[in-house]
Amino acid sequence: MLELRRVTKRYSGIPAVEDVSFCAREGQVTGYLGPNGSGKSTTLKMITALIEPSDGEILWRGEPIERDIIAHKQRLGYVPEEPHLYPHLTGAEYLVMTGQLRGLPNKTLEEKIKGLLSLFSLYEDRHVAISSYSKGMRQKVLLAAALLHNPKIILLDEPFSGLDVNSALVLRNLIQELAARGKVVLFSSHDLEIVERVSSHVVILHKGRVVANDSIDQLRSLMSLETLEEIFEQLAIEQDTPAIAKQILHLMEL
Amino acid sequence: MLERQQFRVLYRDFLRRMIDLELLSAHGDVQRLLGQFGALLAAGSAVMALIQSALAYVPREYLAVAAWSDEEFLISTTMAVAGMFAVVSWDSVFPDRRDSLILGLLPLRPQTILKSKLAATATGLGLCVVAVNVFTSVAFAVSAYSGITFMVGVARTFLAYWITMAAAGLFVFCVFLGAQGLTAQLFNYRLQARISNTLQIAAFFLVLGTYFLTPGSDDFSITDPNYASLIRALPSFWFLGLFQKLHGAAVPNAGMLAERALWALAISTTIAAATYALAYNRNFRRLIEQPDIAPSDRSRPASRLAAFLASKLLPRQVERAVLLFTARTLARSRQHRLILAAYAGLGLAISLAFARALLFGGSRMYAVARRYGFRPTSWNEPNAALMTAGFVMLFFAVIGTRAVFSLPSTLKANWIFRITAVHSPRAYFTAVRKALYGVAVWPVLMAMAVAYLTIWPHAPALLHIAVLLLAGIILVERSLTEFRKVPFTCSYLPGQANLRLKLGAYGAAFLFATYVAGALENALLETVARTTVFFFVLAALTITSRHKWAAFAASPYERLQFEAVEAQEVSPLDLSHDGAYSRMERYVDVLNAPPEQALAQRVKTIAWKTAAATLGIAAVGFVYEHVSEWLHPPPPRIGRPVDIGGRSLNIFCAGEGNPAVIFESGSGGPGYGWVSIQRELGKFVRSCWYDRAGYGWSDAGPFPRDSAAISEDLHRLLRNAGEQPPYVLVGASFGGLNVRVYNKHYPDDVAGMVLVDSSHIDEGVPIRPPGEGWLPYFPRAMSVLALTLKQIGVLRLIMDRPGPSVPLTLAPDLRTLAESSKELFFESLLEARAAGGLGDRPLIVLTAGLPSSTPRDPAQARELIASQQHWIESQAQLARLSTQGKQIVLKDSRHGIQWDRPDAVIDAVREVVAELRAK
Repeated sequence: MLELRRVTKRYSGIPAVEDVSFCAREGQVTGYLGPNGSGKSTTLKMITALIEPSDGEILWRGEPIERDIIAHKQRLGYVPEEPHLYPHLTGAEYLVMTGQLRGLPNKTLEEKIKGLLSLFSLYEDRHVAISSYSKGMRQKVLLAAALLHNPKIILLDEPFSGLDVNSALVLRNLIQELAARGKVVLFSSHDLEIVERVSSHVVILHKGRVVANDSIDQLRSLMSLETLEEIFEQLAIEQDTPAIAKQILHLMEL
Repeated sequence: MLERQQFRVLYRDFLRRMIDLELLSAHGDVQRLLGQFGALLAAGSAVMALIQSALAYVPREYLAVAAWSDEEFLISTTMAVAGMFAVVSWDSVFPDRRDSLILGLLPLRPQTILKSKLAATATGLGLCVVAVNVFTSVAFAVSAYSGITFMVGVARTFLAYWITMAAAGLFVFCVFLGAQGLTAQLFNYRLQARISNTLQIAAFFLVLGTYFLTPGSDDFSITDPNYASLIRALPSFWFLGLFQKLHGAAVPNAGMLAERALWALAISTTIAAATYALAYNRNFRRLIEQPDIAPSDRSRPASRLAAFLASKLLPRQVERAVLLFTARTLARSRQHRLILAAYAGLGLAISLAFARALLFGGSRMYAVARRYGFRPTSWNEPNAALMTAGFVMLFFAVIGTRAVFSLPSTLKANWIFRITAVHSPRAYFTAVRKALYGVAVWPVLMAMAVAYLTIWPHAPALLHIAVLLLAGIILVERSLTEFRKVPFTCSYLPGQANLRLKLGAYGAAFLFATYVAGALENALLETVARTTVFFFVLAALTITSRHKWAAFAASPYERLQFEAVEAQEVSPLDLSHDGAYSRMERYVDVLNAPPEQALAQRVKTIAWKTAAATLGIAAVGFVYEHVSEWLHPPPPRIGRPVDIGGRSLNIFCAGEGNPAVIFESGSGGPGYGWVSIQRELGKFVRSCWYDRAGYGWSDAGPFPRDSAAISEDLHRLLRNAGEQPPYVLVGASFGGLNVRVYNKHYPDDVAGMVLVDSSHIDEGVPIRPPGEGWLPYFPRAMSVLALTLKQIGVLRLIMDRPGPSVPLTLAPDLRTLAESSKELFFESLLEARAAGGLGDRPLIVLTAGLPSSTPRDPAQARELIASQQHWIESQAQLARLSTQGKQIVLKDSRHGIQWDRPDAVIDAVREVVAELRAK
């Protein structure tokens, strides 16, 4: 179980994430939701140890992760929000490098990469530089890189970004299968419909604070609302969205 | 109005983008970097200005000629700087994809973009030319003005200077711009992009190669008509002609050269303007249609070979990953490749500068030098120039690659290294070390090995490769100690001026050391003993460097570094801004750092270690010296010992007939050197050579050994040996001073004299009187040092030569060499000056016509010839010591006339003896 206890991150004294506490359990897909700038990616980066919390603790099976940071990185697979990759490497070279950096043996690595590239429909373009990949292809490279080492914890930050319908469907099934195999899957997205379909549990963040942390069914019955979108609107959206749209039109026509 | 505003905005942006911003991190400060660059050029200008201010002391009638060399140097420097600017701003002169995509959508006229681009480029070029000439222009105008009044002259020279420099800079820039424009006209976009990259690197090599290799005004005399055709071919001389025309002090053919300069400027600017305008429009449109990087198959054989080698040679996956990532980034990132090429170009240029004598040694430029003994080295014999070239190329390969490692490539993608950091920092440090060996050391070493083994005999080639290998290891281990980055993944903070300066100073020191090592290596590898010592020192350095790196890599306080952190951001209280850097990435841990030793303690430790090492080395040297003495005992005595009061001197006399001829050797030369001359003289006169105190088979004498003490020794020796006066004294070099002083104290004993290229200083030149300050102790200290060095084998190590044993005369034995340092040269000069003349007794002064050292290059040949001429003239003063004195200049002899022209010495003695007998 991955647990966040009162985790806070401040930049120059201003909190980006404050007092965040929740658990992501094995065998469960945890949806992590929030509007732009609510601190989702910051939280995920703290879990990956790319940045360090200002306060609070992140625990894996009751142990703080910094106690053995190398072991923590070994059990982690991460798909970042932005597909930042080395453009001069080819898809295959990038995956080989990632596998080598993780110390995977050559033979297994080759087999895995070949299989993953074929399944993600990248095999034909494996020797082409990433600089000429489309956004979706880059996203697939990121997904393949995150899964290469069979991680125990999988952090997905907007994983559907740029994917075509076919790949999106594959990924949706994959996420559910990963959870079924006992992985911790923490999944952040703005697409509430997909979250609703794949997640059993959601954490909603608003202005850096957790405003909901429960199973979707529980939330529905507690708030007497039908869909996750309605729940989200209720908890995390303060603005009168139709009014804002009208104001934008007004400014355009000035 | 709108267009003017657009121009201003674009101009500012283009100017800021003259250098490649992608190399800088988010914190990178362009203005600071540019400021530093300008300051560096200006600092160079200030140094050159200081050197030029010496022109102010040149008499005005010689000024025009004296200033040519400086003018030509300044012009070619300005041209080189303009050329470098053209290389650095290569891509920014044409619109790039970003410009096309962003500006193409805005309502901008193409002319506005073109005008602002040109204005920004002109500003950049202008700033470079101004920075490099800012101080020299003033210094030059003030010290070398030409004109009747000071104010008008300075103003005219100043103006002429700036017009010339601007024209020369513009010419060079336009040549490269024209080449780029022509490429754009001739090829399609993709091909053009590829050729342009190659052309840029070629341009860089061309600029540096031309600057370092083109013959300058030091290599030949501008007024020499033999070089007129060469001068006509060199652009820097065209602009020298232009300057001279404007300035008023004309070199020969200045008009023709100035005309060439103007034509060259006109042609280059016209071609550049035409092709640039055409290419600009064409590129702007087709850029939008082309992807920046075309999809291309990267599974090339080289890439596959690298992956195969990495998997076979490197045991750990992380090492393979780092090596392949490094090699691929270097091969595919244009910016990194260009910077690496810059280092390689600099290395090549310096190697070429070292190899000038090798390249031009057989040419007409070196004709005079050859006449005075310069022998051009051949490629296929081990030579210092090529040895140094190996060091320099290796040095620049390692230092350049190490520097490029620090520059990030797609910094935002480095998260993959951070998230996969599942090994200890040591594993990464090791991987980076192996990567540096893989991409820099092994390729250069292998290329060098093939080259050396092809052109040189195998033994010296293999030895040199072994030396290069050790030097490579030292360089890698030293340069990676405290390097905490995975190549290309750490942000870069430009403007760490102190660090850069320090690195520059280290680099210069290392280059000097390689130059010395390259020059000495021939000598160092001559004997087994020297080779052993040389390799021992290199091996010790290698082990120390390796040990330092290993200690760094194994330290539990070290971390991988992904963010360049300014030193002051590391707070001793372990406080930092949130997000500035994280605990897990921190690489300097002030609180947990191991305790530093106190300074006194460190000094004490170093002192003990140094003392122990010195004693150890001295002990080894002592054994080496005494075993060598036992293995190579001195030859059996020639001559007989004669007691001169508690100690004896060795003397050998032969022949019959008066007056007896007595030979007095030069410093460090035992008497045996005269033996062949003595054999000839024996046919008509008795002659004696002897060993001065401490020399050959003679006992050492008390300190000090000046001419007075030496002549007293000689007097006693001749008396006790039973040789009857008067004598004809033959004094060579330092021995010339001794015989003059002997003449002062015992004038009745001296019948005549022959001075063999005797030591002498112009009568007018003051000699600092000895006996003041520390000076009297200096020779004594030197003699103690020399004797100590002899005892611990250092003299033998330096003086020992391989091959058949050389006669004692040419290689004085080590004892003689050490003892000769007791002799006081300046005191003896003073004594000789005060010794008076010979009246009307016969005196012949033999003077060497050739300089004693061999010139390295034409400039040195000219200097040596001039100083030899002065020597010949000053020796005429010696002939005036006697009313019967005469000087004979031997045009084909060096300082050691008794070896170069023994017949001349014999003839001189015969003449003096004949004259005396005739009386």
